[in-house]
Amino acid sequence: MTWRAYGASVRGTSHQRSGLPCQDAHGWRALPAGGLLCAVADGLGSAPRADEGAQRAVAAALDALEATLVAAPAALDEAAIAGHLSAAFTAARAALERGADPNPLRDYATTLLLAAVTPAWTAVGQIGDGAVVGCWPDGRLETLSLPQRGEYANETTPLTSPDADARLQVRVWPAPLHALALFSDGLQGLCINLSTGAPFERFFAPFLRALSGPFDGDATSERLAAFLASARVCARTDDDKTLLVAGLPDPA
Amino acid sequence: MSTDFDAAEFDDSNPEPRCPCVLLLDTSASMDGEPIKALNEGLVAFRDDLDRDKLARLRVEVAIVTFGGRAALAQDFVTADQFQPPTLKTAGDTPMGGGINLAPDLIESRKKTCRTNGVRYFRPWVFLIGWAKA
Repeated sequence: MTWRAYGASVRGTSHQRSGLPCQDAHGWRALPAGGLLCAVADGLGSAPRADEGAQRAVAAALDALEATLVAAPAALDEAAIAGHLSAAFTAARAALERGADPNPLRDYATTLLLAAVTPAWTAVGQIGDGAVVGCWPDGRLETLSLPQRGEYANETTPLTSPDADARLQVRVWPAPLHALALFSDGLQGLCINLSTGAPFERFFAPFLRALSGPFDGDATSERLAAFLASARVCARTDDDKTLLVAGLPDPA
Repeated sequence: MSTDFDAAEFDDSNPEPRCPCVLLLDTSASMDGEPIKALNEGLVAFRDDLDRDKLARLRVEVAIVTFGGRAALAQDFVTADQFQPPTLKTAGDTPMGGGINLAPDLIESRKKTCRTNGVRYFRPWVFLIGWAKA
Protein backbone atom coordinates (compact mmCIF):
# COMPACT_ATOMS: atom_id res chain seq x y z
CA MET A 1 0.00 0.00 0.00
CA THR A 2 1.35 3.39 -0.97
CA TRP A 3 -0.32 6.12 1.00
CA ARG A 4 -0.63 9.61 -0.30
CA ALA A 5 -0.96 12.53 2.09
CA TYR A 6 -1.09 16.29 2.03
CA GLY A 7 -1.89 18.87 4.63
CA ALA A 8 -1.66 22.49 5.70
CA SER A 9 -1.99 24.56 8.89
CA VAL A 10 -2.90 28.18 8.27
CA ARG A 11 -3.04 31.10 10.71
CA GLY A 12 -6.52 32.44 11.43
CA THR A 13 -7.46 36.06 10.84
CA SER A 14 -7.99 36.66 14.58
CA HIS A 15 -4.43 35.43 15.20
CA GLN A 16 -3.15 37.78 12.47
CA ARG A 17 -4.90 40.74 14.09
CA SER A 18 -3.60 39.98 17.58
CA GLY A 19 -0.10 39.06 16.40
CA LEU A 20 -0.36 35.42 17.46
CA PRO A 21 1.45 32.77 15.39
CA CYS A 22 -0.34 29.82 13.82
CA GLN A 23 -0.78 27.48 16.79
CA ASP A 24 -1.99 24.49 14.77
CA ALA A 25 0.41 21.75 13.68
CA HIS A 26 0.14 18.53 11.71
CA GLY A 27 2.30 15.62 10.55
CA TRP A 28 2.20 12.15 9.06
CA ARG A 29 4.44 9.09 8.72
CA ALA A 30 4.29 6.08 6.42
CA LEU A 31 5.04 2.76 8.15
CA PRO A 32 7.33 0.24 6.45
CA ALA A 33 4.67 -2.50 6.62
CA GLY A 34 2.19 -0.37 4.68
CA GLY A 35 0.49 1.71 7.34
CA LEU A 36 0.06 5.41 7.86
CA LEU A 37 0.08 7.61 10.96
CA CYS A 38 -1.48 11.09 11.05
CA ALA A 39 -1.57 13.72 13.78
CA VAL A 40 -3.13 17.18 14.14
CA ALA A 41 -2.73 19.47 17.14
CA ASP A 42 -4.40 22.80 17.91
CA GLY A 43 -2.52 24.88 20.45
CA LEU A 44 -4.85 26.83 22.74
CA GLY A 45 -5.02 30.55 22.00
CA SER A 46 -4.83 31.23 25.75
CA ALA A 47 -1.46 29.43 26.10
CA PRO A 48 1.61 31.58 25.34
CA ARG A 49 3.72 28.72 23.87
CA ALA A 50 0.87 26.80 22.28
CA ASP A 51 2.55 26.80 18.87
CA GLU A 52 5.56 24.94 20.29
CA GLY A 53 3.24 22.69 22.27
CA ALA A 54 1.28 21.70 19.16
CA GLN A 55 4.43 21.00 17.13
CA ARG A 56 6.07 18.97 19.89
CA ALA A 57 2.89 16.99 20.60
CA VAL A 58 2.56 16.01 16.93
CA ALA A 59 6.22 14.98 16.61
CA ALA A 60 6.31 13.07 19.92
CA ALA A 61 3.05 11.22 19.29
CA LEU A 62 4.14 10.16 15.80
CA ASP A 63 7.61 9.13 17.04
CA ALA A 64 6.16 7.03 19.85
CA LEU A 65 3.50 5.31 17.78
CA GLU A 66 5.86 4.66 14.89
CA ALA A 67 8.47 3.07 17.20
CA THR A 68 5.83 0.90 18.89
CA LEU A 69 4.15 -0.31 15.72
CA VAL A 70 7.38 -1.03 13.86
CA ALA A 71 8.45 -3.26 16.78
CA ALA A 72 5.01 -4.82 17.37
CA PRO A 73 3.89 -8.17 16.01
CA ALA A 74 1.78 -8.01 12.85
CA ALA A 75 -1.37 -9.33 14.52
CA LEU A 76 -2.65 -7.13 17.35
CA ASP A 77 -5.90 -7.35 19.23
CA GLU A 78 -8.04 -4.26 19.71
CA ALA A 79 -7.02 -3.76 23.33
CA ALA A 80 -3.33 -3.81 22.36
CA ILE A 81 -3.93 -1.30 19.55
CA ALA A 82 -5.88 1.02 21.86
CA GLY A 83 -3.07 0.68 24.40
CA HIS A 84 -0.49 1.76 21.82
CA LEU A 85 -2.52 4.85 20.93
CA SER A 86 -2.98 5.76 24.60
CA ALA A 87 0.76 5.32 25.12
CA ALA A 88 1.44 7.74 22.24
CA PHE A 89 -0.70 10.39 23.98
CA THR A 90 1.19 9.75 27.20
CA ALA A 91 4.47 10.14 25.31
CA ALA A 92 3.28 13.40 23.75
CA ARG A 93 2.35 14.78 27.15
CA ALA A 94 5.67 13.62 28.61
CA ALA A 95 7.51 15.41 25.78
CA LEU A 96 5.69 18.64 26.67
CA GLU A 97 6.56 18.15 30.36
CA ARG A 98 10.25 17.53 29.57
CA GLY A 99 10.45 20.59 27.33
CA ALA A 100 8.45 22.92 29.55
CA ASP A 101 10.90 23.74 32.34
CA PRO A 102 11.09 26.50 33.57
CA ASN A 103 7.70 27.41 32.09
CA PRO A 104 4.46 25.93 33.41
CA LEU A 105 3.12 22.99 31.41
CA ARG A 106 -0.11 24.86 30.67
CA ASP A 107 1.87 27.35 28.54
CA TYR A 108 2.09 24.52 25.97
CA ALA A 109 -1.60 23.56 26.07
CA THR A 110 -2.74 21.86 22.88
CA THR A 111 -5.33 19.41 21.64
CA LEU A 112 -4.19 16.24 19.87
CA LEU A 113 -5.78 14.04 17.21
CA LEU A 114 -3.98 10.86 16.25
CA ALA A 115 -5.00 8.32 13.59
CA ALA A 116 -3.34 5.08 12.47
CA VAL A 117 -4.33 2.95 9.51
CA THR A 118 -2.67 -0.40 8.75
CA PRO A 119 -3.66 -3.14 6.30
CA ALA A 120 -5.58 -4.84 9.15
CA TRP A 121 -7.05 -2.08 11.31
CA THR A 122 -7.84 1.59 11.91
CA ALA A 123 -7.47 3.46 15.19
CA VAL A 124 -8.22 7.03 16.21
CA GLY A 125 -7.49 8.88 19.44
CA GLN A 126 -8.46 12.36 20.53
CA ILE A 127 -8.10 14.88 23.31
CA GLY A 128 -9.88 18.18 22.75
CA ASP A 129 -11.76 19.48 19.74
CA GLY A 130 -11.31 19.00 16.01
CA ALA A 131 -12.37 15.70 14.46
CA VAL A 132 -11.42 12.80 12.19
CA VAL A 133 -13.54 11.76 9.21
CA GLY A 134 -12.81 8.43 7.55
CA CYS A 135 -13.70 7.12 4.10
CA TRP A 136 -14.29 3.35 4.06
CA PRO A 137 -13.45 1.26 0.96
CA ASP A 138 -17.15 1.33 -0.07
CA GLY A 139 -16.97 5.13 -0.25
CA ARG A 140 -18.99 5.74 2.90
CA LEU A 141 -17.84 8.70 5.02
CA GLU A 142 -17.99 8.43 8.80
CA THR A 143 -16.97 10.80 11.56
CA LEU A 144 -14.64 8.59 13.61
CA SER A 145 -13.91 10.98 16.44
CA LEU A 146 -16.03 13.92 17.53
CA PRO A 147 -15.02 17.30 18.96
CA GLN A 148 -14.90 17.21 22.76
CA ARG A 149 -16.66 20.31 23.97
CA GLY A 150 -16.99 22.19 27.16
CA GLU A 151 -19.82 24.58 27.83
CA TYR A 152 -18.23 27.34 25.77
CA ALA A 153 -17.39 27.25 22.07
CA ASN A 154 -13.91 28.61 22.70
CA GLU A 155 -12.92 26.14 25.41
CA THR A 156 -11.78 22.53 25.28
CA THR A 157 -9.70 20.03 27.24
CA PRO A 158 -6.00 20.06 26.29
CA LEU A 159 -3.39 17.32 26.49
CA THR A 160 -1.79 19.27 29.36
CA SER A 161 -4.94 19.16 31.50
CA PRO A 162 -4.75 17.16 34.77
CA ASP A 163 -7.69 15.02 33.60
CA ALA A 164 -6.33 14.44 30.08
CA ASP A 165 -6.05 10.69 30.68
CA ALA A 166 -9.71 10.48 31.63
CA ARG A 167 -10.77 12.58 28.63
CA LEU A 168 -8.79 10.59 26.05
CA GLN A 169 -11.07 8.83 23.55
CA VAL A 170 -9.63 5.93 21.57
CA ARG A 171 -11.56 3.85 19.06
CA VAL A 172 -10.38 0.85 17.02
CA TRP A 173 -11.95 -0.75 13.91
CA PRO A 174 -10.85 -4.16 12.59
CA ALA A 175 -10.65 -2.86 9.01
CA PRO A 176 -8.50 -0.35 7.14
CA LEU A 177 -9.83 2.97 5.88
CA HIS A 178 -9.45 3.93 2.25
CA ALA A 179 -8.86 7.59 3.12
CA LEU A 180 -9.15 9.95 6.06
CA ALA A 181 -9.19 13.62 6.97
CA LEU A 182 -8.12 15.17 10.27
CA PHE A 183 -8.98 18.79 10.97
CA SER A 184 -8.79 21.33 13.77
CA ASP A 185 -11.81 23.10 15.25
CA GLY A 186 -11.30 26.09 12.96
CA LEU A 187 -12.75 23.95 10.18
CA GLN A 188 -15.17 21.70 12.03
CA GLY A 189 -18.19 24.02 11.62
CA LEU A 190 -17.68 23.96 7.85
CA CYS A 191 -17.33 20.24 7.29
CA ILE A 192 -19.38 18.34 9.87
CA ASN A 193 -22.88 18.85 11.22
CA LEU A 194 -22.20 19.97 14.77
CA SER A 195 -25.51 18.61 16.09
CA THR A 196 -25.29 15.11 14.65
CA GLY A 197 -21.57 14.82 13.92
CA ALA A 198 -22.34 13.70 10.37
CA PRO A 199 -19.65 14.53 7.79
CA PHE A 200 -20.70 17.01 5.08
CA GLU A 201 -19.84 15.02 1.97
CA ARG A 202 -19.79 17.96 -0.45
CA PHE A 203 -17.01 19.49 1.65
CA PHE A 204 -14.77 16.44 1.53
CA ALA A 205 -15.34 15.37 -2.09
CA PRO A 206 -12.71 17.57 -3.80
CA PHE A 207 -10.09 16.81 -1.13
CA LEU A 208 -10.59 13.05 -1.51
CA ARG A 209 -10.56 13.33 -5.33
CA ALA A 210 -7.15 15.01 -5.12
CA LEU A 211 -5.67 11.70 -3.87
CA SER A 212 -6.29 10.01 -7.24
CA GLY A 213 -4.46 10.37 -10.52
CA PRO A 214 -1.02 11.98 -10.79
CA PHE A 215 -0.14 13.28 -7.32
CA ASP A 216 2.33 15.91 -6.14
CA GLY A 217 2.03 16.11 -2.35
CA ASP A 218 3.86 19.41 -1.93
CA ALA A 219 1.92 21.17 -4.68
CA THR A 220 -1.37 19.81 -3.34
CA SER A 221 -0.47 20.96 0.18
CA GLU A 222 0.23 24.44 -1.21
CA ARG A 223 -3.13 24.54 -2.96
CA LEU A 224 -4.77 23.42 0.27
CA ALA A 225 -3.00 26.22 2.18
CA ALA A 226 -4.31 28.74 -0.39
CA PHE A 227 -7.83 27.36 0.07
CA LEU A 228 -7.58 27.58 3.88
CA ALA A 229 -6.39 31.20 3.60
CA SER A 230 -9.10 32.14 1.09
CA ALA A 231 -11.66 34.86 1.79
CA ARG A 232 -14.41 32.26 1.54
CA VAL A 233 -13.00 30.24 4.44
CA CYS A 234 -12.01 33.32 6.46
CA ALA A 235 -15.60 34.62 6.25
CA ARG A 236 -16.63 31.53 8.23
CA THR A 237 -13.82 31.13 10.75
CA ASP A 238 -11.23 33.47 12.26
CA ASP A 239 -9.40 30.64 14.04
CA ASP A 240 -6.29 28.75 12.93
CA LYS A 241 -7.27 25.89 10.65
CA THR A 242 -5.63 22.62 9.70
CA LEU A 243 -6.67 19.94 7.25
CA LEU A 244 -4.65 16.78 6.77
CA VAL A 245 -5.88 14.39 4.07
CA ALA A 246 -4.45 10.93 3.37
CA GLY A 247 -5.53 7.92 1.42
CA LEU A 248 -4.82 5.24 -1.08
CA PRO A 249 -5.14 6.23 -4.73
CA ASP A 250 -8.12 4.74 -6.54
CA PRO A 251 -7.11 1.89 -8.85
CA ALA A 252 -6.56 3.34 -12.35
CA MET B 1 -5.38 15.66 -11.78
CA SER B 2 -5.62 19.09 -10.26
CA THR B 3 -8.89 19.35 -8.34
CA ASP B 4 -10.36 22.70 -7.55
CA PHE B 5 -10.58 22.96 -3.76
CA ASP B 6 -12.85 25.98 -4.11
CA ALA B 7 -15.49 23.45 -5.17
CA ALA B 8 -15.67 22.34 -1.51
CA GLU B 9 -19.09 23.29 -0.15
CA PHE B 10 -19.68 24.22 3.49
CA ASP B 11 -22.24 22.81 5.89
CA ASP B 12 -24.57 25.79 6.23
CA SER B 13 -26.80 24.01 8.73
CA ASN B 14 -24.45 24.89 11.60
CA PRO B 15 -25.57 28.17 13.20
CA GLU B 16 -22.87 30.72 13.99
CA PRO B 17 -21.74 30.37 17.60
CA ARG B 18 -22.80 33.41 19.64
CA CYS B 19 -21.00 35.59 22.13
CA PRO B 20 -23.40 37.29 24.56
CA CYS B 21 -22.10 40.69 25.66
CA VAL B 22 -23.79 42.74 28.40
CA LEU B 23 -22.99 46.42 28.81
CA LEU B 24 -23.72 47.66 32.36
CA LEU B 25 -23.91 51.43 32.03
CA ASP B 26 -24.14 54.15 34.64
CA THR B 27 -26.82 56.67 33.61
CA SER B 28 -27.20 58.35 36.99
CA ALA B 29 -27.36 62.12 37.33
CA SER B 30 -23.65 62.18 38.16
CA MET B 31 -23.08 61.28 34.47
CA ASP B 32 -24.63 64.59 33.33
CA GLY B 33 -22.78 66.55 30.66
CA GLU B 34 -19.50 65.29 29.23
CA PRO B 35 -19.59 61.78 30.77
CA ILE B 36 -22.93 60.76 29.23
CA LYS B 37 -21.91 62.36 25.92
CA ALA B 38 -18.68 60.32 25.96
CA LEU B 39 -20.61 57.17 26.85
CA ASN B 40 -23.05 57.65 23.99
CA GLU B 41 -20.17 58.27 21.59
CA GLY B 42 -18.54 55.14 22.95
CA LEU B 43 -21.62 53.08 22.11
CA VAL B 44 -21.46 54.32 18.52
CA ALA B 45 -17.75 53.51 18.34
CA PHE B 46 -18.45 50.04 19.76
CA ARG B 47 -21.14 49.43 17.12
CA ASP B 48 -18.80 50.68 14.36
CA ASP B 49 -16.00 48.37 15.54
CA LEU B 50 -18.33 45.37 15.63
CA ASP B 51 -19.64 46.32 12.22
CA ARG B 52 -16.14 46.21 10.71
CA ASP B 53 -15.60 42.60 11.80
CA LYS B 54 -17.53 40.20 9.56
CA LEU B 55 -17.65 37.42 12.15
CA ALA B 56 -18.32 39.68 15.15
CA ARG B 57 -21.32 41.09 13.25
CA LEU B 58 -22.84 37.62 13.18
CA ARG B 59 -21.64 36.30 16.53
CA VAL B 60 -21.73 39.06 19.15
CA GLU B 61 -25.08 39.66 20.85
CA VAL B 62 -25.35 42.96 22.69
CA ALA B 63 -27.62 43.76 25.64
CA ILE B 64 -27.58 46.97 27.67
CA VAL B 65 -28.51 47.42 31.33
CA THR B 66 -28.58 50.99 32.63
CA PHE B 67 -28.58 52.13 36.22
CA GLY B 68 -29.77 55.69 36.71
CA GLY B 69 -32.58 56.10 39.24
CA ARG B 70 -33.37 52.40 38.71
CA ALA B 71 -31.70 49.41 37.11
CA ALA B 72 -33.38 48.54 33.83
CA LEU B 73 -32.92 46.58 30.64
CA ALA B 74 -32.40 49.29 28.01
CA GLN B 75 -31.65 46.88 25.17
CA ASP B 76 -32.41 43.16 25.11
CA PHE B 77 -29.94 40.89 23.29
CA VAL B 78 -29.64 41.75 19.64
CA THR B 79 -27.10 40.42 17.13
CA ALA B 80 -24.38 42.99 16.41
CA ASP B 81 -25.48 43.60 12.82
CA GLN B 82 -28.90 44.69 14.16
CA PHE B 83 -27.58 46.76 17.06
CA GLN B 84 -28.58 50.44 17.00
CA PRO B 85 -26.86 52.31 19.84
CA PRO B 86 -29.44 54.13 21.98
CA THR B 87 -28.89 57.73 23.08
CA LEU B 88 -28.87 57.38 26.85
CA LYS B 89 -30.13 60.10 29.17
CA THR B 90 -29.26 60.60 32.82
CA ALA B 91 -31.57 60.43 35.81
CA GLY B 92 -31.51 59.81 39.55
CA ASP B 93 -29.09 57.98 41.80
CA THR B 94 -26.75 55.08 41.10
CA PRO B 95 -28.26 51.63 41.82
CA MET B 96 -25.16 49.85 40.52
CA GLY B 97 -25.82 46.74 42.58
CA GLY B 98 -29.23 46.33 40.99
CA GLY B 99 -27.64 46.61 37.55
CA ILE B 100 -24.95 44.08 38.40
CA ASN B 101 -27.59 41.67 39.68
CA LEU B 102 -29.47 41.81 36.38
CA ALA B 103 -26.48 40.73 34.25
CA PRO B 104 -26.12 37.06 35.35
CA ASP B 105 -29.88 36.47 34.95
CA LEU B 106 -29.79 37.94 31.46
CA ILE B 107 -26.82 35.79 30.53
CA GLU B 108 -28.25 32.59 32.00
CA SER B 109 -31.48 33.17 30.12
CA ARG B 110 -29.58 33.81 26.86
CA LYS B 111 -27.45 30.69 27.29
CA LYS B 112 -30.62 28.68 27.85
CA THR B 113 -32.12 30.07 24.63
CA CYS B 114 -28.93 29.12 22.76
CA ARG B 115 -28.95 25.58 24.18
CA THR B 116 -32.63 25.12 23.35
CA ASN B 117 -31.89 26.07 19.75
CA GLY B 118 -28.66 24.04 19.44
CA VAL B 119 -26.52 27.16 19.13
CA ARG B 120 -22.99 27.10 20.58
CA TYR B 121 -21.80 30.10 22.55
CA PHE B 122 -18.50 31.61 23.63
CA ARG B 123 -17.82 32.63 27.23
CA PRO B 124 -20.02 35.71 27.70
CA TRP B 125 -18.65 39.19 28.39
CA VAL B 126 -19.90 41.78 30.88
CA PHE B 127 -18.53 45.33 30.75
CA LEU B 128 -19.35 47.83 33.49
CA ILE B 129 -18.85 51.50 32.66
CA GLY B 130 -19.44 54.06 35.37
CA TRP B 131 -18.35 57.41 36.62
CA ALA B 132 -16.39 58.28 39.71
CA LYS B 133 -15.28 61.80 40.57
CA ALA B 134 -11.69 62.02 41.77
